Amino acid sequence: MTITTAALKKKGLNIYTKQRLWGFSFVLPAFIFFAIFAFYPMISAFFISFTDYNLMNDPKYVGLENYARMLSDARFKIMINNTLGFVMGSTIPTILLSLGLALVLQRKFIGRDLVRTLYFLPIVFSGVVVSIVWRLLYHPFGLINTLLSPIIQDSPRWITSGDTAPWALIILNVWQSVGFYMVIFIAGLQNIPDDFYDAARVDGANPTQSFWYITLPLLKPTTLLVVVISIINFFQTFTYQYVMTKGGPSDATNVISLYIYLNAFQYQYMGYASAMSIIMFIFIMILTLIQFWFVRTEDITYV
Amino acid sequence: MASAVAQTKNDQPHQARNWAVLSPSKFLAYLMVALGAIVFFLPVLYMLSSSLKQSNDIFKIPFQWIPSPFVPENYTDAMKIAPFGRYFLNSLIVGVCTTLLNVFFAALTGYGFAKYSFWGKNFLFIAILSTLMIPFQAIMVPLFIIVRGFGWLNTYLGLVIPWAISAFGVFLMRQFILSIPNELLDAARIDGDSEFGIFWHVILPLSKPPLVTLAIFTFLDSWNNLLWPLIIITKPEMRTVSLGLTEFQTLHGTAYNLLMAGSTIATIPILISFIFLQRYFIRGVVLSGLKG
Repeated sequence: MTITTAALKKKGLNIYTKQRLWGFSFVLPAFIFFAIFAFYPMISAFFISFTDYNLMNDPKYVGLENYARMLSDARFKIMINNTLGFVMGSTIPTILLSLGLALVLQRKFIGRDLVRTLYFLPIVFSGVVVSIVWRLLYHPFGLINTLLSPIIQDSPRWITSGDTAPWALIILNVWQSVGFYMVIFIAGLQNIPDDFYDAARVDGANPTQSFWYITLPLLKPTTLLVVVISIINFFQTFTYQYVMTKGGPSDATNVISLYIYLNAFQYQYMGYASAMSIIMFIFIMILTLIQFWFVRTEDITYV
Repeated sequence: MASAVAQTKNDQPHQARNWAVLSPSKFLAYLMVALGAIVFFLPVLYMLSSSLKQSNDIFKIPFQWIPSPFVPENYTDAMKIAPFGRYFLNSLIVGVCTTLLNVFFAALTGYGFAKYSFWGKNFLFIAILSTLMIPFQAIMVPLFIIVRGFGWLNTYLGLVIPWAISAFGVFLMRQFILSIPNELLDAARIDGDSEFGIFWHVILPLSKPPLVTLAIFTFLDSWNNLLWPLIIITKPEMRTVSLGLTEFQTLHGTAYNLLMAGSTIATIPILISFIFLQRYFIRGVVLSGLKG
């Protein structure tokens, strides 16, 4: 290292220039990495989206044809509907459940840590594993129908019927996601200063009033953040559908990510797949910008 | 953000007083939450239990939670049909390499952004941060073409390198290293440490808590990733656990006891690390709330 310093000194670089060079050289590898594995692919995807391309032939420029095709592709509409259905169907129960759990589980009681752990546990399982396990749970003679049989006469067909399969996937998704958002809500609750509750109590507020006038309003940024994150995450759902239902029965659970994958790597329509992925990128980008904005407002402390 | 992390560990004193007034409705809420937790755990128990059953006992009515007869041979049978040992090794190699690269480069890049000023710094930082907006599906086709061009299909390099640095990790480490006092760095400088030496001797040891969190989440993501291996791996011996399990299901979709054994095998390392490092898992979630 002293050699480098001496070499730099010989070149007449002062200490500040040296520091700048060091700092720059520390961030340079990462920048090169992202240039190769993020920016270039993003630009490339944009160009491919205007071509007809498969791995056997060179790309052929087709203008906006791939984008026009989305409008006329009935399957694409189904994918959009299914994806939005999955996102909305999952987001609402996930948020209500995780908020409810956070409110109860932030209080101390015997066995609380164990209960928290049990709700959190599904997160660490891979999407593949839970899809395989839940496929068995949803089997016509699986555990769920066995447990339901005394209550319900006609056992639901779950993932084998187009009517119930989307719900089956939503239930699985909610089961696996709740713990994650619960933890974020608990952190949000802990960020509310105790002084607020103390002041309210001095003013004669009861716990219910504290909840409505302190907890809920101050939890609003967290809630908005959770809504945006969950939409971003759920919109990209792939593994459950790929492993559990393969998008079936007859596209009932097919979603945009899976459809992009199928077009790119099974049907060899890479241009069309890229066009769809650009639309997806725009959608996610808008949501992420909203998220960044929330995070920034989140940083403002209440005290 | 750092304050949110620090506070997750503490419990709020103002909650303690609620203990005294446990009304019936509150008691009911606790009871429901506790019962719900058991329901949440059932699928995990179901996996374990079914993995030790004879295949025709799985659908037996009434349902048995404790298998009889006990069939641990399912695990060896599953291993015979599919080389889960090899899948396991692949996932481990990929997971460990990805994690080490991420930890090193997140810390190094974060250090550069936090403690130095140079021309174009803000631009570079925002450029890197902006990659968080790119969903993987948007770039998977070009990424596949790039990796194929490098000759990395069916290789560990192909599985690791595209995930070697995460923008989230860089962001996380920059935020953390900002809070390390400059005096410590200057002291090391006076002692004759080089700039990289400071990173190695001062920054890395001090950054252990966020690095452990980052390491866990990187490993978890790597271990659980399906889509990328699915795209670039065609050779059976290069399959990761997630991919191997998926292929196993495609071929032996009704061998439920073996599938459950395979799923259990795939989960064991994650489950063990979760038991020991739960605190870091939870901290990671709080932090990744910012990531999405």
